[in-house]
Amino acid sequence: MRGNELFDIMEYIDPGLIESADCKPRIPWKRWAMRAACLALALALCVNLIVAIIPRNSIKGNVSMFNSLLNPSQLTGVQILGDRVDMTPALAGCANPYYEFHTLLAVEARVLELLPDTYYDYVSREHYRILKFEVLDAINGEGIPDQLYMRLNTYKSPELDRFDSMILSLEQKGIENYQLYNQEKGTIDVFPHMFEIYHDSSAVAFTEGIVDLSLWDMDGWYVNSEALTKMQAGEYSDKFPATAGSSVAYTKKRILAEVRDSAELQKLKVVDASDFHSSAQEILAKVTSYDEGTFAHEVSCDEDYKTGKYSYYIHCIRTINGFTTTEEYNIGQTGIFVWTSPSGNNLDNTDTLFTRSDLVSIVDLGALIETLDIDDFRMPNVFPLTPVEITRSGITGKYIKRDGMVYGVVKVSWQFRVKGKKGSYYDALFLLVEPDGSYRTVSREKVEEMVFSTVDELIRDVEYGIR
Amino acid sequence: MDDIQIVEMYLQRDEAAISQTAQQYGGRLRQVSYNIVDDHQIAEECENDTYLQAWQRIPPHEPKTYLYAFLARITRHLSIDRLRSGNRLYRRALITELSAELENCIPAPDDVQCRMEAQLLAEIISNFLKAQSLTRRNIFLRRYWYMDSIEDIARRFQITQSKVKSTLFRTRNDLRDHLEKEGYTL
Repeated sequence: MRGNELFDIMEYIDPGLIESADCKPRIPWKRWAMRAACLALALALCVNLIVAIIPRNSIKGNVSMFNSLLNPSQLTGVQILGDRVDMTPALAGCANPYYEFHTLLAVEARVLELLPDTYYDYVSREHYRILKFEVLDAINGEGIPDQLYMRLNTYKSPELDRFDSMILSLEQKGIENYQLYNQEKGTIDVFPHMFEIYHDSSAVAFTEGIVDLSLWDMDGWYVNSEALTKMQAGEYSDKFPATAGSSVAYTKKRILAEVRDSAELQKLKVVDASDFHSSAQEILAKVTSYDEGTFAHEVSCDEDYKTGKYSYYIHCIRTINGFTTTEEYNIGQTGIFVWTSPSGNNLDNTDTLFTRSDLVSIVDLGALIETLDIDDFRMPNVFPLTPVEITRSGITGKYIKRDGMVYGVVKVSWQFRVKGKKGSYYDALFLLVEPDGSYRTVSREKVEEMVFSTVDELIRDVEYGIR
Repeated sequence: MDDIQIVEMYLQRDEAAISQTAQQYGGRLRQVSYNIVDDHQIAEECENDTYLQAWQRIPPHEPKTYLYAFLARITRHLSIDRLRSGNRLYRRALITELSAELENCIPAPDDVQCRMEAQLLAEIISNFLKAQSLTRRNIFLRRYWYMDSIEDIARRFQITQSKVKSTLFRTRNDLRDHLEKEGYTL
């Protein structure tokens, strides 16, 4: 049997499963709150603990440890290229005609300030602008502050101060001490509670109290003309609380009606440190034992639909010599606070975790990259007969651990345009750096086999690298 | 109108069943198709063909409890057929890519003697998926049934693209192990 036959057989999967997979993703407030809380606490704890517990250069050898004052420009062999890919034109072309306001924490708010700098989040690996809002009305959710910060992907136009007010459905991304890397200043900036629009279309803009559809004409806002036309005509009235001409009051009324019908929505509240689920504390006890050099954790929680037990997925990012590792492990729960995994240990997948001895003996990827010249590499051009124009290129690296060995993966990337074709193309080749510092070119498949999360990352990863 | 009533209309050969189906599920079916064909016009044609096929298949089928899944399966099938018979190389590449990913789940090389009935294999895969956590299962299905992009899945589940990829990777490996453990050689 081949893959395409198996692909066809998928057609006969149990209909119940198919239907369930097409429902709205279920993010129960407990899970959501716990996730936000875990992430925020983990970030807060980890960054602070590194500063507090690990003295600089506490590890001997060639490891230069990132401390909480992240400043890639100080790192060996690395410089920031600065410019970023503007994703706006591409997004406009690929937007699905899906448009829905998904109520969570809902507020009516207006923009007070657009912070001048651009931020990078190492967990989501995305770039953000930060908007400060004044909350005019907390429509749903307890504990909503009078002013709140919201992060917005840089590919979306942040000029939301042109509207008198907005109704936003928000997801909380962090509690007190939420930290993002300031790209302009090279520092970590700390914010209080941080929020994000839950879904790209979970926002309604108002001018003079009436829906202002020009929001959707702004760069990067996720809606295409078809969806907009339908929304204007009221065709999405079951999915969206406002249509053309709706007032603020009407829109709020629709949202409140949805909240009235949902016990889960009624429970939503802004999470702070006192809300931690005790099991989150258990996780953090595990996490902090691996915190050496780690500055970011993403902790997400999943409920087993059969047993009702939780399992946790932990994604660590550790920076060594200015290059990140990806360490992922799972904690399975089979009893209250008894952590076991299929392998019989408390933790599963721990072979991806770096040990102290790994850190001491690790190859200096930055020093190696410094010796490389991108012009020595030839782009494996997929359009051999068509002229291409290389618009950006760069070299980046990553550390991985597989089967007890620590490797470096160096990715040489190109962004290019092809004559006669729209948009940008990307291509890359990979070098596998052995623990002794020797390296060789390896296929994309080999890299994929070793580290599945590195391969398809976009050109933005090239921001750390040299030309 | 609920699914049972709509299916009853089909069984009674009431043509209003089609408009009711379109009203109830038209948007979602079109979305399923659009995900695959990436073309609004073709998606609309596939949606309409779905209604026609539903009309032809009910009866003998009576999908009173799974009407949407029944229709979506037809839509998916029609959409993939359209891609395979068309010349849209880019979208066909998507099917090839997804097929190649799924091939990792196959524990043994091609062997016609050992082929299993599609229905039986689908049942095994269904049982495997039922044993997975809700999120893991749905991520797998969004990718290989609904053919969502990694980016869309990440957005849908509010997780990172890395996590989507690693979840898919592990699920594929587990499925391969499961098939192997069950003694099924494909």
